[in-house]
Amino acid sequence: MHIVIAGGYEQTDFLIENLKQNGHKLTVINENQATCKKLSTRHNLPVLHGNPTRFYVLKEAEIDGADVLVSLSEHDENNLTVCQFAKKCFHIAHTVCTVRNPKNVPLFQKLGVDHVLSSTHMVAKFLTEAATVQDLVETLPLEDNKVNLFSVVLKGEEDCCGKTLMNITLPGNTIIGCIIRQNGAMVVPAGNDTLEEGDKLYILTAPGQQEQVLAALKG
Amino acid sequence: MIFEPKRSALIVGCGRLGGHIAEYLAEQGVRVTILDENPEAFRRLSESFGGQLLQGNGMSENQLRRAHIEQADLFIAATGNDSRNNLLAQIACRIYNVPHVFARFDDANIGKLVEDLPIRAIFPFTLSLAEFEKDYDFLFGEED
Repeated sequence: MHIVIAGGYEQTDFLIENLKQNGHKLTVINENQATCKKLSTRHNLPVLHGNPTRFYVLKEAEIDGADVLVSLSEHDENNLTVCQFAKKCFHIAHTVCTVRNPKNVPLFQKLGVDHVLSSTHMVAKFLTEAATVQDLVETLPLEDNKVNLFSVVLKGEEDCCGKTLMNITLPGNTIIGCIIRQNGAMVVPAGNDTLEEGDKLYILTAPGQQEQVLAALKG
Repeated sequence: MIFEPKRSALIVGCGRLGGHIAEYLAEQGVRVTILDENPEAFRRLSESFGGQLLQGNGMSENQLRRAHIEQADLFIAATGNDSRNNLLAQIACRIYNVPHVFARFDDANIGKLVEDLPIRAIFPFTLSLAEFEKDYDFLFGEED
């Protein structure tokens, strides 16, 4: 894949390190000359010095038709400009950017950026999901929040304890992916496995369904 | 006699351009609100200016609402930063459906980002250049 990375420093350094190993073609643009020098020396890679919100800089970078553009400026508005140029003038299919202000996540998506990432926004979403479910140990949103992985420990009083999996009805789009027994043994469950007190269940489900899943286990 | 409801305008950025547009619109009887994060910027407005001055960051949606963007008939993005003006103009046009949106851009290429939208781009540099060419033509045009 041809990947363009505009702006940023720490994140850019990390991204280059990871993406280079996977054999991607990288184009790196940065407006800070010192950053350009460091990145180019460390990764043995040409880095274009220039302000990526300027059309002529993007043109000079020869990014037309690249697969992905990642914009990592610390100013949210610059990221919008870069991503919009990428889409409109350079035919780049996927644009990704970070934002400082979490309210810019839905806004930038509406204005045409494909993936908008905000660490504050992600933490908030994670906490909201986690807070809705008592007894919940961990929740991990996957695939842009299309799937949640969470775990729960059975206390023994739930209706499902002592039942085989085939006799427990769970909501749709839900699967118990793994059971960790009290003695630490790991079981990828089949229909005839029985749930017991002290079992830790790893469950994959659609977001917002966790309470239903827990209710189904409790009976 | 028919009383038309007053038009209202929201201007973000009280620099030379934003300030002068504010004064002009107020003289035309438009209800003007001007937003700038630096209160010092308002000093350039005349004492007789009858519009509303609001100190705040135009990049925050709360501040735009506080400045009544929802009721505005005109919106002018006049900060000194092209990317900001692009974002502001697109918020006004695409999120709040303000009927008349203007944006000031130094770099004429930024205009490509709004060319399909009902946003009127103002390019001070292009206008100055056109003015120069006109004067040059007037002075030396006959010699060629």
